Amino acid sequence: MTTSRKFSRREMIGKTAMAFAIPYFVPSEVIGWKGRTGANDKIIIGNIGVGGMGINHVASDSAAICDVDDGHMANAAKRVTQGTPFLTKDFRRILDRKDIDAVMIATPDHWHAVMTVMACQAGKHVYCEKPTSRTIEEGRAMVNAARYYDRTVQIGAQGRSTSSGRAIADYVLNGMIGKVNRVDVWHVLNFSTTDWGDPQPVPASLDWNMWLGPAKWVDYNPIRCFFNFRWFMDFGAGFIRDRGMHAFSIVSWAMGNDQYKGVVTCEATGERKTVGCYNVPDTMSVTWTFQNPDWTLTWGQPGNPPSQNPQGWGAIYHGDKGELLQFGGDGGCDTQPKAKDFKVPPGGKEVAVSNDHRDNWLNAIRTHTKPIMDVEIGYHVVTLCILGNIAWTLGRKVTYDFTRETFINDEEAKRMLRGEYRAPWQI
Amino acid sequence: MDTDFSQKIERILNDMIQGDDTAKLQANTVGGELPSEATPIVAEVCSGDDRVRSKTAGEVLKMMTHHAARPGAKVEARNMTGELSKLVNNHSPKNLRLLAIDLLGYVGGAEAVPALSKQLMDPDTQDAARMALERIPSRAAETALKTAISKSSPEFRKSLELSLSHRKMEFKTVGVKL
Repeated sequence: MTTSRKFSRREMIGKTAMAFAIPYFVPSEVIGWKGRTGANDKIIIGNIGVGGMGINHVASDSAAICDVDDGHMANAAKRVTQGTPFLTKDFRRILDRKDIDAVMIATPDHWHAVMTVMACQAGKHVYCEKPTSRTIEEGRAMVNAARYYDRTVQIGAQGRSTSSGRAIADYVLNGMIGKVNRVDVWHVLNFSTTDWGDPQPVPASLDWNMWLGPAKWVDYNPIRCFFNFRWFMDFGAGFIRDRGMHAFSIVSWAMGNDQYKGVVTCEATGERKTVGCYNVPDTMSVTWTFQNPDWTLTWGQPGNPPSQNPQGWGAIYHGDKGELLQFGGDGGCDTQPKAKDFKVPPGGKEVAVSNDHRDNWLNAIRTHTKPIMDVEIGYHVVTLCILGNIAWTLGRKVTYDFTRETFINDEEAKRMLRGEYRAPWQI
Repeated sequence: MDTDFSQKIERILNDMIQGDDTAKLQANTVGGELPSEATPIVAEVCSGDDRVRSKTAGEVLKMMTHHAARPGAKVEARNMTGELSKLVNNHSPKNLRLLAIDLLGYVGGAEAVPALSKQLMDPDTQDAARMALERIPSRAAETALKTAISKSSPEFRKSLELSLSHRKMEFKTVGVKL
């Protein structure tokens, strides 16, 4: 597949050197060209993380499967019917394989940036599940790696590949509800537990050290994984960074906010957990205020859900000529008939079309174009989620500059731009 | 004074644990505004056997620290650093020491470095301490990490080197091997 790329190593070096304005030499091994073969368009894929959402990404022709849990790996291997996949608990063995062109990463969040960066450095294209990253610095690292190593990186915010997500964006962008001055996202509460997460023996089937990877060490307890990592700030950081990323992805699209480079303020409140080992807030209320154009985004747990979908999650767009409802924001995104029936008039604004997130990524690799949820958009969207959590943690309004990629006049908030890593992992 | 603090802290804890939604949210604000002198009392609850009260007191300590570290409150930040440093260096339970170390990494400046440096030699707290020092931008923090390298096990040396390397990373090149 890689022979279809229409640029030479020399061209690539020149291009990336200009991007960073620093003279350097990149050995071919670093950018992954050496030993890569394949004269046709077939893209050889390895799957990293195949429990939860990851199992859905395992195709019948997956070349390699990595998971730190034996059960997940065995389950995924059954899905492969064309050939015998390479199985490993260490994703680096997949990155070592020169016959693999691309990887699909569906691990818990704390691995996303490290794996994406390492995969790009190994010359692999990446499909990484949402949320893009744990920290703002990690998001920047993923974008830098994608651009520097010229890899195609798609973030798994699948709402961008739905007809309803597209309908919402087209409807709002074409002014059908007038000027939108506020978007309210609602969501059910974060999970709670009375379990204190006391240390337990690690099952023989699980490589706990590798599950933790770059994250701070904590003793094993099944309450921490697999799904429930979401309720720990150092791991999943709550629904705001989980489904919130899905919801905000559509909102950002519809509000034309993907390229926003201005300043945003963010303030948050939320009840703190007092029982059990989880430490994300019980309830949460966050407000982001954008400038030029001026509009406000809110996140509410529970927020004010509309009667049409009181138990679910979604967004309400408030325009000066009407309102529009967004249900969900992921691959099951839906909206009202008025938006779904809307036809963009000649000369109107129309967002890019993708009907399948994976196919869109593969096509972007083949055509050397950006995918529908390019990593840079994913970085922008996840930054909103991260800002919400930082504002809640600090208990005060923070001001973030999207151009300078830092907080204004808040030293403590600046220290939260980045996270720490357990050796040997780094970005 | 201690009695005043004790009663106030009791009210905050009760509101956070069993108050209605309004009381819980209000307690977040009031808890954060406790002065640094209240730290020993909050820490005592945090060290207790009642897990709910201990966890809640830990949340209060976080709120106090972040409030003290707000822009324009240098004296409060320094006072809070002093109180947290005492918790790190005494015989507090491990969970409290780890919490205090973590918080020092956000509120602390050069004055937090001596307390954190000592923790680099304690296997129970050394990784938390090097992560806290990694966050503190002062030269003293960098020197502490460098100095510890020669005194550490080969395994921990790698962690210290990782922290030193990460401190130098800039946004424009992070994620790229130059």
